[in-house]
Amino acid sequence: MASEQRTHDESRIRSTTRWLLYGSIAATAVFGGLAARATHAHTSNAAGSSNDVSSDDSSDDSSDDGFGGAVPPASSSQPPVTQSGGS
Amino acid sequence: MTHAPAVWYLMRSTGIVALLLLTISFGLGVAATNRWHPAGSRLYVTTEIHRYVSLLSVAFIAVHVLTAVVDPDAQVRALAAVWPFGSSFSIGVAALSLDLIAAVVITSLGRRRLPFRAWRLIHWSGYAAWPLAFAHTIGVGTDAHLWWLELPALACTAAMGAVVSWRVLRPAV
Repeated sequence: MASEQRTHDESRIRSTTRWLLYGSIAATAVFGGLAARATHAHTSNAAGSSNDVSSDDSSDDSSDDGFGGAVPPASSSQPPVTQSGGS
Repeated sequence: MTHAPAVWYLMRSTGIVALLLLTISFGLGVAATNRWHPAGSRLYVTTEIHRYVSLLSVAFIAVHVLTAVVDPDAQVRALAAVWPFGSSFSIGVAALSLDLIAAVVITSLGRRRLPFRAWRLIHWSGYAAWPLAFAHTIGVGTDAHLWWLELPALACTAAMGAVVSWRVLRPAV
């Protein structure tokens, strides 16, 4: 009886931990994809606005798709995050 | 283009997942303290899963910190990852959070060699790691204003609010 309970508990632990691991890896991939998309949207918008300054872009809603706005790692001279990690 | 976009994306995504795992770990820790366990299982299941999720979150934090140090665009020095002073607020709170989590993990691994009171005191100090990690997520953020970060951040805040309320309103037996 006790060993049956133990087997049941260990099986539960194994399945939960397995799903947590798979879920975490999947979530990492999803958030990585969203980060890439946000960066791409931002750089596309930046490139579009710099190439076509005079055009009427009022119909262009690509900057408001919920993905844009991330500060892009566009160049090495402009770091993606405004932080100073050094001491 | 950035030096290594894959590293940059991995750093951002592992940071969010680490916060989610940290929240789950805190929730399970409180659940174990309140002696909650799934129906048909023993308390041992809750504590084992809590332990596993904690180690998993540490693994994701390790990848997050490593990629932040390696990525030249992030500009985080190795010392700044562990030393909370001398860098920006967002990096400082992250370093402090990391130090607290490291202390909790190390003392938990060597729990049998420590007096229970000392272990519990350090373990309780781990509660402070979550708000610090959260402040880092929101404060440092390249992505802080984007819905796919705001949504998990909101979910984590709600979960932590519920868990802390549960802990306060129902003291351990």
